[in-house]
Amino acid sequence: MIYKIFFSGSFVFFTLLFTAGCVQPESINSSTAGNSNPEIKSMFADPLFVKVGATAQIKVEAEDPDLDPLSYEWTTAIGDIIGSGSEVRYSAAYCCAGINIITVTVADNKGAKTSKSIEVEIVF
Amino acid sequence: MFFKSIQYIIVALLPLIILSQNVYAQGCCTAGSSTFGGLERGIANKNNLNLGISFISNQLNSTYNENKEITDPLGRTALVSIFNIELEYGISENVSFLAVGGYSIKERETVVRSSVDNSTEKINFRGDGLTDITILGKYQVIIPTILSQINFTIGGGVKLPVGTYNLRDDGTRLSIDLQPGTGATDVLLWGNFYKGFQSLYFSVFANFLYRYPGINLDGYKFGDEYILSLMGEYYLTDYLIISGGMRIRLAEEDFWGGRFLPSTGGIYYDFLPGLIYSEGFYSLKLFYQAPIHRNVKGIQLSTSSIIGTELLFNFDL
Repeated sequence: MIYKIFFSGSFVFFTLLFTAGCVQPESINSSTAGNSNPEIKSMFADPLFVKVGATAQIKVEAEDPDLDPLSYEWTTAIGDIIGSGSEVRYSAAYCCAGINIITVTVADNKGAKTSKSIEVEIVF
Repeated sequence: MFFKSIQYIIVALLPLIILSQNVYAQGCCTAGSSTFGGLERGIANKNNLNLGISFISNQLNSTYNENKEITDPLGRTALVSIFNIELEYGISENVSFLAVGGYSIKERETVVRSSVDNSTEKINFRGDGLTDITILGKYQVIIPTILSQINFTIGGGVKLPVGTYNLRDDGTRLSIDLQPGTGATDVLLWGNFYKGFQSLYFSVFANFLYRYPGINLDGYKFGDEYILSLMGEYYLTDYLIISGGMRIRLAEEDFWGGRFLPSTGGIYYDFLPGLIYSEGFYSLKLFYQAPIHRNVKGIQLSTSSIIGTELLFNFDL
């Protein structure tokens, strides 16, 4: 009986795994009927080349055609993003020397979103 | 018989000796899940259920530049605390299945420097959540007898990405070393050799784990990982056991963005003293892990000590 439960549990895990594996990365733009996507006017990093342990300021300027309030989600595969909102800092340790990608997703309160990425190079 | 035991240990060591010539390790602790507990034991007996609860506190206060300990140029320290639950059930004389999962709390402090005015600031990060889950099947190749007291078990399994690798703080995603999971499915190969010397109240065992990590949706892949533990246990009394040994962990560099990441990879040698109280259907283990030697690639924050405790129950169903 116990091992049947064990195998059932394993089956559930594998099902979750394969389902999760089919999830696609979120699209660059997504909107709902009657609601416009936020628009990213500009995105810049200063500086574009940063020494290990130093920070780069990253700022995004966005607006919503419907004047909905906006929220910001920042993502990177490696390194640290410090802060939140429309302006953050990016820093990375020795692991992450090279060109890294920082992505911001701007969303309104009705689910429409727009993403944009910028590259920052970490140097020794 | 003793020489046969030595032969088995050498066979278990051989892959590691060969691989250690060219490989390096990822910077932090084993990614996504624990490798203690049931992953360092032989099989559960037929119709027996092992239930283990453990706590591991991993202090990362040592920074190495290759094999030299240095003051961390970025002022980094970290603490990883993991609560684990494991279940193992023996479905026959030779086969058992193990599942391990838990909850981790990862904290890191680092000093960053402004590129504008060169001012410094201490930043604290924290990520917590359910870890990935490891499922391992074990097959006992050599069954111990009263005369031989030799046990050899092999196994294979997966580490499933149940824990999140997309944890955020106020909309900002945390760095991968602070995520509870890795977002990838790993393949595991495992082996355990045990030899008892009953008349000497002594036993030795060797434990080997190879992890082939998968790639997550970010395209991040942790380096392949090899862990070998060589341990001895001495019975002070019928209930009290002291243990000691060495753990060697070795991993290749992490990979992301079309490149192997610098300052990931190395080899880690640790000493593991421990104390076990065993009575009837339960045992309590306390253990400590201290570094003996490191040889990392580049500059890495590394484990300075681990303390852990495990309460293990055995139910004969």
